[in-house]
Amino acid sequence: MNSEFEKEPIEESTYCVFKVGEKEFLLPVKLVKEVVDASPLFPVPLTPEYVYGVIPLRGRIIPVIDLSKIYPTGKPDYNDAKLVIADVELELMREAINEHIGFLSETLPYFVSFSSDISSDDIINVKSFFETFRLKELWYGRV
Amino acid sequence: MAEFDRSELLEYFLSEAENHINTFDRGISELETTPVHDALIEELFRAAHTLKGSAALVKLATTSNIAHKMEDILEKIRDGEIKASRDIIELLSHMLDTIKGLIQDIAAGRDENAQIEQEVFNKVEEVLTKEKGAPAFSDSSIPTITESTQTLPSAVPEKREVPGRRKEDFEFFSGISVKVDVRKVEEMLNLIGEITIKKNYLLQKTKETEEISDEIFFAGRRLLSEVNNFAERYSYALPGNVKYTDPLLSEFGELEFDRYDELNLFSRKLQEITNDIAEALKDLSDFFESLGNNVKTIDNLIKLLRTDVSETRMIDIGRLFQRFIRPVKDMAKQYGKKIELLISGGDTKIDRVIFERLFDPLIHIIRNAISHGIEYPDERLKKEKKEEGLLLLTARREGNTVVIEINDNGRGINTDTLFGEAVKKGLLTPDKKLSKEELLSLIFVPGFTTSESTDMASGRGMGMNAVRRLISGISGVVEVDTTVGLSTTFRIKVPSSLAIMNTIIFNSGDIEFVMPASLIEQIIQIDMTTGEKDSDMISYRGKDIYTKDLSEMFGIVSKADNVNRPVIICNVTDKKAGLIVDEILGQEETIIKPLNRFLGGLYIYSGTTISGDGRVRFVINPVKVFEEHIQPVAVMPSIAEGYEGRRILVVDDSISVRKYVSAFLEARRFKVYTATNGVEALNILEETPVDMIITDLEMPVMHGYEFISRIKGSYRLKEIPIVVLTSRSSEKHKEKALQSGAHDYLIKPFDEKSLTEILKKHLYTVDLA
Repeated sequence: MNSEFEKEPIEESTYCVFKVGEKEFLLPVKLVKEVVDASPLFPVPLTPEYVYGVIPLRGRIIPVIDLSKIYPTGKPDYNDAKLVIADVELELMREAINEHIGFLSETLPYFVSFSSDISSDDIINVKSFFETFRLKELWYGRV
Repeated sequence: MAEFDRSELLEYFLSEAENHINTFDRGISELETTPVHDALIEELFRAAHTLKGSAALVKLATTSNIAHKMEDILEKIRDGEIKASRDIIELLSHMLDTIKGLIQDIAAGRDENAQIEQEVFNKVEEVLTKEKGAPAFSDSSIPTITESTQTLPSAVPEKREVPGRRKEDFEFFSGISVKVDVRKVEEMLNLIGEITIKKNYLLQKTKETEEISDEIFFAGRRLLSEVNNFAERYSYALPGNVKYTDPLLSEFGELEFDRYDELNLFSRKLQEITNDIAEALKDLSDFFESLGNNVKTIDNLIKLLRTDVSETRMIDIGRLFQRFIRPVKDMAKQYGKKIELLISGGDTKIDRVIFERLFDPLIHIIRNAISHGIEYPDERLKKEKKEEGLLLLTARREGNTVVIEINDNGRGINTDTLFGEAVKKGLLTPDKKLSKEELLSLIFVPGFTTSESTDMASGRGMGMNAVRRLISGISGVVEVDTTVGLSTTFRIKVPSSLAIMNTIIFNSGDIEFVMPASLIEQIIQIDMTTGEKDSDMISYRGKDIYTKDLSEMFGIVSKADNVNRPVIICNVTDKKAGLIVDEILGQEETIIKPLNRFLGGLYIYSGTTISGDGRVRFVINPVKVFEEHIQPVAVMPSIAEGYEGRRILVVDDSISVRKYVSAFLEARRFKVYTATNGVEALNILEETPVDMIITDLEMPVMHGYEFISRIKGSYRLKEIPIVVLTSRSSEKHKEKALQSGAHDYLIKPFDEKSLTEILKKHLYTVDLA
């Protein structure tokens, strides 16, 4: 196993960097589908506050995530927000299915490359993010 | 057991086999090119297993046996008994070719060539013996002798039309159809949705331009008539037409007549130009008319395209029914019952999305029918029924809906028992008179069961309530009908396609929603000011029905005037219920898209639509809205990494305390904010939501007690846990702090353990209930 590892050249990976509050998050560029203006957004009643709303895009309806409601980022300014659309591949009934989610960014994201052996806490693992934060069965309280 | 038309069954088998063979083709070439991995072997194993089973079902013994042998080999590879050497891979590939040949024969209407089986088995034996003799560590990288594979008896390929071209094998049955990834179809439907939106815009615009062109045309005609009038009046005044009553007037100079001439000419010109404009306007209006017509044609074409594309997602429901054959057999055995399964209407087409989501509710109903409905053989004989119980699965199309019926000729549902149970559970009073339908609908009430013991399969987990919920999720309804002692029928009505539906649009506050018209019985108006709306019940057709205010439920500020509010009366299967909305906006034929899976848990919505002008509207699922008398509350999932991301505000005038506590918390991945006094702290809280506050009591500007009482006085902040961290150790202070609203009290110098305990107590188990 070790020898295999050594043979592998250290590759450069490109990330899409976007800003929320005082924090910058990274997404592997190959998962970024596109970057669009975050409008028009439509609210979704009964969602937790990190679901900012949804946006219609090319016939798909994409949930818009506000990371500042999940991570300590400080107060974000979404006045001129952009939306980073990420592609998530999921497995459902043994079939691969693609779903999109959008992350709000205060400014136009930029791209950086660095070698893939550097790991950062701020790289979002979209798949596990999706699994963790996707809305499961609502909790119901009796009135 | 199942009385199935064999040719129909064969058809299903062939299309299924095609899938498995393709999996194998792909898998084997992958085995050849990449190192063996468990997942791949597992996938191939499953494919072989399923192929074996379904071949046996249609009585193709040879195919089944060979598939079984493949399964054995793959199992051995999986268990590490043999390696996936080149020989083995060649062997598998050979076996696959054999199966392909066999299936091709079957597809062509010939019988299986049973002799091949022995040849293949000999081959397997030969290779396996050789493999076992080979050194255990042999792996695929060591070149093996391929002679044997080259001399493989060409038992199968002799029937192939084009021998040696494996590519051809893929296409054995389907010359006229292609396989398309469902995602591709979805993508096409999405694009059609987009086109529809643009087309609607165009339609809107052509209507507007038509109005403008009408206006211009009208203005042009007015201009023309003005000019004509003017010209007439003027021409009346022309010298030739003027009668000179005063002979002196005839002495007007020539010059003045010139002016008349010029005016005359000008009016002529105006007339001509206006005529030209009118002509051009007529052309323009013709153009707009034809443009409008073309847009309308596009509209129709898009509708056709949409129907066509959504039809490609349609699947024969028989493929779903086929999946029940095995479970029915197993369940009959499990419960010690004899059951005959009959299937009809298998060629009814149904949307793939619905197809996928019908399995669970159907299997549950079937399970109920077998375990509760159909009696034991001796019991049946006593009742002079046929020993074998009959289970009938039918499907048919009625307009835009597909009706699926599950009928059993078992003991039926005794409504008296249901009534008794409902009284026992306090759902009904003994004096209440209910119709049969109303009593039967009790089985859909959550937690309602009449069976004494919960058995392994049907009494556990999913109740009829869940069945109803699953079906409502695909905008369907479920009904039940029964004759005691004779039969029970469950009737499921689902739209044949989820793609296009007629919906009613309404709003709550500024947000627009839709509901499938198929679920709506009627829309009525109620006066909210009179006593009629004192409780949640309103009277509808002589019956009290339960209502819910959508705005109230969603916490949206209603914009309605609260005098006359529309109520959407919906069928919630076991009862009718009324959804009070702000305003009914209209209706629309629209594409309903399944919810993005990120929002999948919001069962209150069964999908989304995009309106003509690009607005997103969620589809309300009334069954979920009225499920029990419950108030849905959104919940934040617990963050997997424990404390990560939690925010804590530390308020202390001592910098060393702030630093120390911050370092301690930051090491535990908290985000820490600090303030030196109450005022500063409140400023931070203005902007930043925090999960906990740790505060000192004695501080300048605003001391701890006041800070705490300010927080407790704020509606927004009062729920934040507050921990007092102080050097005052007396009980008196502790009591005062706790009384003012602090949740915990920690004395400086504190040890890390007690702070950890407190964090755990207040953060880790955030009680969401």
